[in-house]
Amino acid sequence: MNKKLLMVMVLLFASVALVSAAGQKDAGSVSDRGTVEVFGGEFSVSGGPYTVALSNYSVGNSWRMQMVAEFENACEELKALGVVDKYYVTNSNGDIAKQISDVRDLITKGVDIIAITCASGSALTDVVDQAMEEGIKVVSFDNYLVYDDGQVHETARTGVKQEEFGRIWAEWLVEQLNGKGDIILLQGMVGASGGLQRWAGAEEVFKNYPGIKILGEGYGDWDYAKGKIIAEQLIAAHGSNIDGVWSQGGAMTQGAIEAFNERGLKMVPMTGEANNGMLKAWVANRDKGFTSVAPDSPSYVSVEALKLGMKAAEGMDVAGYHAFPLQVVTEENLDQYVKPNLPDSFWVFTNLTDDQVAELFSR
Amino acid sequence: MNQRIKRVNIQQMMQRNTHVMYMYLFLLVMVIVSGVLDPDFLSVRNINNLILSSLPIFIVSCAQMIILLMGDIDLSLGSIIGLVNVVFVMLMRPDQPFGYVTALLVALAVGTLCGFVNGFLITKLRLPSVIVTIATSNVFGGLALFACPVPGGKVHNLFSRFVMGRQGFPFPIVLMVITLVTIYLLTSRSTFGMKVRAVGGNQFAAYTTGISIARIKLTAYCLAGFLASLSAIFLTSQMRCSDATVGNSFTVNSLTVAVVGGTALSGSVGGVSGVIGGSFIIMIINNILNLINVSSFYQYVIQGLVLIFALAISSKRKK
Repeated sequence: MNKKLLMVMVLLFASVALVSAAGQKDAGSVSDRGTVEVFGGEFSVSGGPYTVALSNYSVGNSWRMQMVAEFENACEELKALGVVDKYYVTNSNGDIAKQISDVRDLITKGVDIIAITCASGSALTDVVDQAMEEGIKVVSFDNYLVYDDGQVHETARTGVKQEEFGRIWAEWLVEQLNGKGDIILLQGMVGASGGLQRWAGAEEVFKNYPGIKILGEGYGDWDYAKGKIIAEQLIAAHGSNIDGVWSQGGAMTQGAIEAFNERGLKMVPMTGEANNGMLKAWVANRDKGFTSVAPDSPSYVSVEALKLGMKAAEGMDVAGYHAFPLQVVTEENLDQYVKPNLPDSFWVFTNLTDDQVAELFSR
Repeated sequence: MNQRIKRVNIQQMMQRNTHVMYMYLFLLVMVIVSGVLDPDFLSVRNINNLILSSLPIFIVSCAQMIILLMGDIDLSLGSIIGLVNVVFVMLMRPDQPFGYVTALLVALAVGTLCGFVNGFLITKLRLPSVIVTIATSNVFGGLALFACPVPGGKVHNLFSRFVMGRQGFPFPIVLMVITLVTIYLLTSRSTFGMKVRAVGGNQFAAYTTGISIARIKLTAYCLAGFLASLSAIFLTSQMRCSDATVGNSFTVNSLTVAVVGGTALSGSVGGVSGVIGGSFIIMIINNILNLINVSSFYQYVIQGLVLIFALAISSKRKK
């Protein structure tokens, strides 16, 4: 019996490995490819073909899944152009030690470019140094590398400033309330750096408006159900005194909309994020007087990192931080971005086609 | 005649170590398949990578194995790693020539102390190890986060290079061998090991033969804490900074490795020869699937399947 089990296991391992190995297409010879324009003519590539990689630390939410899909999609297009011969995507499930060995594995495979979003910005710096010593171009995005020794440990970095979210939300809310009103805050996760930065951006704005009074706040972990519970508690305490909701996450805003509807309260302005579910709720509650503003860090930031890595590999100077502007859904452009036929989990600022999105979220 | 005795001995040995034998057979098949699938797999660089990534999990799995041998379980090992990592980096003086000595000694002491706390609560309050270590895991993890809410800090450059084997001396291999031999002698060749196994086999019977269960458990938990801190120091030398959450995955992974390596959850059965094979199996799964570019989802699926398979063999053997 044991032998049978062993055989089953061995066969299983071998077959998974073989099937996946067979699934990899070799790009063939591209030496006679010449110079190719990439990313819609943004720049030309004469070197390569490059082996590229995404070192990711989590696919724990729909934004992260979409971010990985954007990267894979861009790589497939670059492969077709003969600019990329192979690409790797690793995911460490939040495990710092695993991400360190993931990067080592990528060095072993001799990749040319790594786009990295770090489980721990500090802990990954040393292994990224090793990659850089091997001549690999490393661009950090989303969760950056962290170092303060005055030296450069990465080729470049890109991403949005989290403070910008807070600032955009706060300025919009102040404008909606004409500088005076009582608001509640739906915060993200206790201690999470992204959440702290978003609030810091908002606080800067609110402190200039003494007429804005904060009635209460709660941490909804960026989650729909928790956001709804927090909103219900704050409604129970302050009821119809609430003039506006400053929420740091679209799902929590959806929860707050539900809570307001269930209590039969008049809708107030609430800030949100640009995921399809939030935009659908916005449209559905428009006639009840609901309005919002929904900025988003586009999920193709992973492709932006790849782009910078490729420019560096082509000898262009890309050192430093490349701010990636936030895109914003407002009352004016809402109808253009909301996709009633697509799933709620989808983030609307994307390079993916509707079909690709539908396929990604139907899995 | 001599030959017959030899054959019988080998047969006995094989029967006793069926699980470990199968595991090494599986490991061998994995190495061959991996080598065929990707030539880079057997490169010196990759083997070096495998040793570096297997070592911390191997050491902490030895700790878990010792606790499992007593029929207990330690769910705080990951948090001990996090706390030791933080303490080690906080006390580090990277700009002094021997700025790592104090940090090293205190870090090892803190890990051992954490183990002592576990052992003390389990033996004095007679609480189940699952409950105690879940609770202390929160305490140690909380302390680590309190001391170091934001990852950062620096590790002594020379120390880190030496520990990682980048100074010309293959320290990781030496550490692996020393741990292997020491844990083997302790658990399979010493009276301490026999007593640990006796406690895991039948506590009452062990007690009636005059074994001080409290003393054995306390010693074993201290040893586990010490090993966890050793693992943390190695890990920290790789990361060169502190991050209170770095140990999070190690609790579950150490259990996986110990069980894959043939340690019985019911106690008494297991050995370091299995644990080292188990750590290589788990690390090779991740490594080869990365090298041949398989989605990380499959890495976790396959890890899970290997664990189920290992448990299936254990339960078969018991029957």
